[in-house]
Amino acid sequence: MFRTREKTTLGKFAEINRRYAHPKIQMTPAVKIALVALRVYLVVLIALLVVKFVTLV
Amino acid sequence: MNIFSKLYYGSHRTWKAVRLFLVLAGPGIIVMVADNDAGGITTYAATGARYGYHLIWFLVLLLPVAYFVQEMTVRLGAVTKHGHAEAIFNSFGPFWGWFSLADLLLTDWLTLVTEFVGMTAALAIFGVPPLLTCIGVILLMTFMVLQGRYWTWEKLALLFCAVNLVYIPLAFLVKPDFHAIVRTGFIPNLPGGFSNGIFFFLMANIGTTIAPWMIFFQQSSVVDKGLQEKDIRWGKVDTLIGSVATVLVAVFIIIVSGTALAGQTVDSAAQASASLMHTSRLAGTLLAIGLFDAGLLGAICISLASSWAFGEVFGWAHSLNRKVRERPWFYVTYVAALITAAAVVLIPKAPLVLITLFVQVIAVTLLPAALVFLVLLLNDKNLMGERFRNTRLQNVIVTVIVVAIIALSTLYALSALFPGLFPTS
Repeated sequence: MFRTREKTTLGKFAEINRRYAHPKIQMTPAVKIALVALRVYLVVLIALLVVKFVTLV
Repeated sequence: MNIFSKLYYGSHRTWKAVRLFLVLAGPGIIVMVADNDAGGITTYAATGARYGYHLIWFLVLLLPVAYFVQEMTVRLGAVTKHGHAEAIFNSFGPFWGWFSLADLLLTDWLTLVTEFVGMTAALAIFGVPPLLTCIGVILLMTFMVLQGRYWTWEKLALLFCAVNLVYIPLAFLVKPDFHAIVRTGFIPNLPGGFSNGIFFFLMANIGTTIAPWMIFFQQSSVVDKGLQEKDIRWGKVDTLIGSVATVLVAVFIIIVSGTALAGQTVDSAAQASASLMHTSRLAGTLLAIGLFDAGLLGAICISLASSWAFGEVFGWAHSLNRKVRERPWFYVTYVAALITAAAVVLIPKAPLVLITLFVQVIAVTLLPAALVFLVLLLNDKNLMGERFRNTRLQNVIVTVIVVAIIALSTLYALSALFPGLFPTS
């Protein structure tokens, strides 16, 4: 029963991933630049959080 | 047509417009007033106690910032009929969708904990045990969504918004010097010059004015209320009135603490309320009531923002207009968030200060993403059409706002993570 439930839950995630697999926004250069900048920003921020965590420990 | 006919038809038209506004108003006022949550009240009380009336001008400056950001959610919700979480999944794909949803849930839950901290501390002043406060709040909030009508939920929330205005008469009780307020509060100045200390306070005030949950909440609320494209202008008026109310309340809290608690260190609004009791028992009582109400309003909106976002993405029924049987998972997420957040507050010696710090840092990871997605969505011609997409002027304004918020909130997160990074005065 547990396995069936696990399968259903994973199936739901897979279904959501499939449903939204193709982003609908028009990929203009401005959108591409904004998304890349956002990725870089988040990577730097997460790296800083990791540094803080490591120095705390 | 004679003058009496013109007057009659004019007043008839105005009354009709007012009635229409009263029907359509709600999401903007609720989200903006709820923005003055327990954390917000503490921030304003601490700002007033530390810098007197000197930073009032800065809060007034935040009024258009809050309005321009939130106004975009009204257009996006009314045109697409999608909540913000669903809009992100739809337009940017699963990677950004899951990132936003997970970050929103974490930020909302942590903020919910801080709302319970505020509510239990406020009622503890009147001798109410924290356990009783938590149980009462959970029951009240569950009833609000259980009754099965968005309209009823909204009117109850608006009632709590009205209680939030208690800070205005409270300011008159402490007898402030209105000449000093006008002289020092409305002329831009930084007392003692720019320092790490004042920067921290400015950032905390920005953080309480624009929060990621507000974007998700208002857009979902607009969709659940069923606002149409023709209602957008009323949605904008609703948001503008809410922006004015939130800044007005914030200014009056600063006036209260700047008058009665000047020079004191305020660590929490509950502590400010207890201190105020020594000056005026009624003033301290009103501050405590206001703090409880602020925490409750914050909790109402934040928990709904999460449940709506979950429902939109997972395809569960999530409208407040649906019957209880039709949306069981909506209640599971809603009540689970409330119970777990309350449980953390009831744990003896729980690291609540650390949680508050964590909220500030985690919110910064979501805020830029939420704001950037909002601006990109509002510029998508296919999604918004020519009529409702951002104009060039709107883009210039919101880009300046978004870039400034991202830069300043990042510096705020850095100063919270690494306190020695910026020199103190």
